Amino acid sequence: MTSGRLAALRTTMALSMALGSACLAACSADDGRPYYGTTERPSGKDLHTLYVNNGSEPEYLDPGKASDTASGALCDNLFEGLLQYAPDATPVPAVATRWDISSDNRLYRFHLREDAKWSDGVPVTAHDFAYAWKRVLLPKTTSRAASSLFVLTNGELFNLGKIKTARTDVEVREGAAPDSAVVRTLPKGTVLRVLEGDAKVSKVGLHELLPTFRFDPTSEKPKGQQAGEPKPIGFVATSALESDPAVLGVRATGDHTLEVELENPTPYFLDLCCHTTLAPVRKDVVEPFEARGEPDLWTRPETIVVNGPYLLDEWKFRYEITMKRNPHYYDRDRLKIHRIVWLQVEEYTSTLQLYRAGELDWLGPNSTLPQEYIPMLSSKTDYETVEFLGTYWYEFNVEVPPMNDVRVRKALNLAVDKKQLVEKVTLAGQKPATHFVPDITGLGYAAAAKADREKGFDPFSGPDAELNPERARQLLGEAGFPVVKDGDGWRCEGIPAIEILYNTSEGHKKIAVAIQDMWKRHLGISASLRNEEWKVMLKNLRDGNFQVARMGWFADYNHPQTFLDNFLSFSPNNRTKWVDPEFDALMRKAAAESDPPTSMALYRQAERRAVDGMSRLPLYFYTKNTMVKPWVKGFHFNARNQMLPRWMWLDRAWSGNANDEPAIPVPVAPPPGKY
Amino acid sequence: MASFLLRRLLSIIPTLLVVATLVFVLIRFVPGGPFDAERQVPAEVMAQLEAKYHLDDPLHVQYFDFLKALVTRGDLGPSFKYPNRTVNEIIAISLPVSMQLGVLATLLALLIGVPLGILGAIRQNTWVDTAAMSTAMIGVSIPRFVLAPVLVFFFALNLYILPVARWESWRHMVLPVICSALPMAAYIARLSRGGMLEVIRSDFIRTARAKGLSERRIIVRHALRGAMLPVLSYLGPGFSATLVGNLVVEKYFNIPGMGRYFIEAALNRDYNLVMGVTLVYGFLLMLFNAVVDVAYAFLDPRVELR
Repeated sequence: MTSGRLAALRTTMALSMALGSACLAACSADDGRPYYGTTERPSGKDLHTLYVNNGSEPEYLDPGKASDTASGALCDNLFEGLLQYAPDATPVPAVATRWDISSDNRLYRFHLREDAKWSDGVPVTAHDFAYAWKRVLLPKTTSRAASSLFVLTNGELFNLGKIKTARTDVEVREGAAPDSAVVRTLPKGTVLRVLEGDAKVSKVGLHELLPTFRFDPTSEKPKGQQAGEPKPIGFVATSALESDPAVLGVRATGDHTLEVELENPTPYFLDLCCHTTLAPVRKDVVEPFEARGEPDLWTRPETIVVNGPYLLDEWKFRYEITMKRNPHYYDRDRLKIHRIVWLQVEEYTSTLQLYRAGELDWLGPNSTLPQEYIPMLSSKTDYETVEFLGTYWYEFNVEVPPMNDVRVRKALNLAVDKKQLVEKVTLAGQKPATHFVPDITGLGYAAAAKADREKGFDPFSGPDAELNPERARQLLGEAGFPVVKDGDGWRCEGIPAIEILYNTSEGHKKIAVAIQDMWKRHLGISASLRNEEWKVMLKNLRDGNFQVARMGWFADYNHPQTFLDNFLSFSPNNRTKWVDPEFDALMRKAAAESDPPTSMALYRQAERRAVDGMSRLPLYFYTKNTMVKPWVKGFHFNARNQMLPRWMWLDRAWSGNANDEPAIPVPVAPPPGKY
Repeated sequence: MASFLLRRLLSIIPTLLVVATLVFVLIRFVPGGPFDAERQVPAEVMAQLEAKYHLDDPLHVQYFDFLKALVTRGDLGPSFKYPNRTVNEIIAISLPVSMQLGVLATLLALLIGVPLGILGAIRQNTWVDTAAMSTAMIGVSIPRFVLAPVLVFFFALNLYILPVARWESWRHMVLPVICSALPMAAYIARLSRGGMLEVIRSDFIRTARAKGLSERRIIVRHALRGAMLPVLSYLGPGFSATLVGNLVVEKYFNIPGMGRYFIEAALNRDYNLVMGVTLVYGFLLMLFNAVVDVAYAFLDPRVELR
């Protein structure tokens, strides 16, 4: 997501950009070429080295901890998970060559290739995956990417420290005081749910849901899903409890077999398996560093051990990262890119100039061109754009008047001309949004949306979803704020002041100004604008100090769940305070449903609830754009922004060569076996 | 004089302590913390993160831990934003780059600014003066974020004689050094012109002229030292600011220096890094101010070091 970093500089840079783009526009006008900058690769650069901009410095090169896009893009090349993204971003075999899935999409068994090796020659095993996943979820790892593994049985509660295991035989007391009566004694290994607690004493209940493959010494009842929180049984000393990852739904049953149990049917689990968070790491490499209190230092070039196609060669902090081929990668000989140089250029003007001069082959996975450049660049042949799985929206604080009235929120939505917004303001070909899940979302969503439209029933279009100032005024009137004619325009009577909050950035500002104008024009509401530095704004959102705030979401996986998750009453990302038990129930039902079309219909229904609640005002579905030199082959810009250099190759004689096949033939998975 | 210098240097220590305390308190008062992100982590994970960096300790405990590590080991702690680097390491990587750029830029600024200013002063109110001072005025007024793209446009994108950005060979240094130096040079030119004008009107210069000394000798031997005093006062803060890096130049030319951290670390709420760069800058500033005071005594016999 657009980050608020260097917001202050942005303002000063605006002038520079204006000047820069003026120069650039002038230059391209007189050469009149359909390409931006040179079309010949500089002769000094060899054909096996790819120069890419990665934007900023990665926070982590540890796949289990990487949560920012700069780290993710690098880890995707250093580590390889069970599956990987093909050039079109579909999940295809990587370390796992085939898999078995239970009929309800809940149990997975992966069969790993035997020739996969770490960069030090040690074979990659299922144990490495089990270790890595458990490590991500262990609370002490403090991974900010752990939510990718919340789908595992007990994953979420375990990560949040709410499922603990008795370290020894433990006495359960009636009260929190250390001298209160002992109710019962539980044997070592009992799995408990921590209901409340501090460093000294925890109020616990018995936790019943365990992976079917785990032996539970206390099990009195058959294992199975447990509704809600367990009954409290008493208090135990917190020091007697530990986070034992054995409760998690993953295990290696051999060197090359990994078994996974998920809490719910998860049709997007194969997509998650491509995530760098689910990549393997080596216990014997990581643990010595953890033991000496430096858990993040193993990823330095001297010590890092990877299993992906590329190996970390050089890491110049805040400047450049170089990768070379991993000598033990199973497909090493077929890789056509032998070295990748990841520049870290944050300034767009400089990035584009480097690209123009041929110093960069591709702007990189983390580039989004600023609006100012798009009119000039979009006519170039090497400009690429794609619909992206992301939604830009405004969030309402539904507890603050007048936003506490859903009719006001709906009126504000109906008064925004989103078509005009994307055509006149954002300019990058974004799609106007009347709902939250992008229409191109996969795993049945796009198909369901299309089927609905063909039946002539589209819940997200029509007079109650699209621009409709008349209806908006009527709704405001119903809410007690009549909109009356005032000269040429309108005046909304009695409405409390409305303020739009956005993080400091030219782009967000332009959108806010446009919306301010639309509300004024159609509803007679004069909203004020406030911009704040990114972290200040996040704090204010967290504390509920806002009325309307700009936000958005990029998909973690290709499924509506990733967007609708944000609307759950208990989601940490739900800053709107919107609570709808019906919505929560629908989401739970949709997640638990094993029949994909039924599940998708439930998700669509949940989305309708969310749109109906209008706790967020959907504005547009993102597009992503980039510039890539014509000599880069095997490059396919996709909706997930997953373009892996392993598929790419460089061709100096590009203009005479129509071949654009990936460098390595994309592996094809056999149909999943029966679990 | 040695005792003066020693006293000045020793006085840096308590001042830095005050600076450190202020930074420590102020940065923690800014709303938002290092781990606030668009994707809000659950409260439990946030608590674990804060515990990992001891941000959950009471403020005074954090403060004394910080002081202890700083005084006993010179350790500024980990960076919150870049967990696999310590603040010491980040400064050790970036400060030399900024210093290299800063020293070159200051030298160039002096080389351009001083002659230009003197020329303006001795040819006061002629076209030479007007030209020199107009150039300087423009130089002072054009911000670096305008200068940088203009330089790149001509030298890199049209004449193809220099690279557009990056920090690799001497050729990569040319444009950033010019870009850093020009505004400084303009300022120095104005200062040295003013200084020179004041000096050449003074009695001892009139005496020298009356003695029939050549104009050249008067300027070089007698006037120049005095004329340099304003430039010298400027160089104390000016040079130290250049040494720690310039945000705009570093960003535009993609130079891995320290200048960018002054804003960036604060925006990221990277408390330790904010502390580190502020202390480095504070130290250099006070150091060069002391050095300038000593240099004053050399240039101006009226100045007495006490």
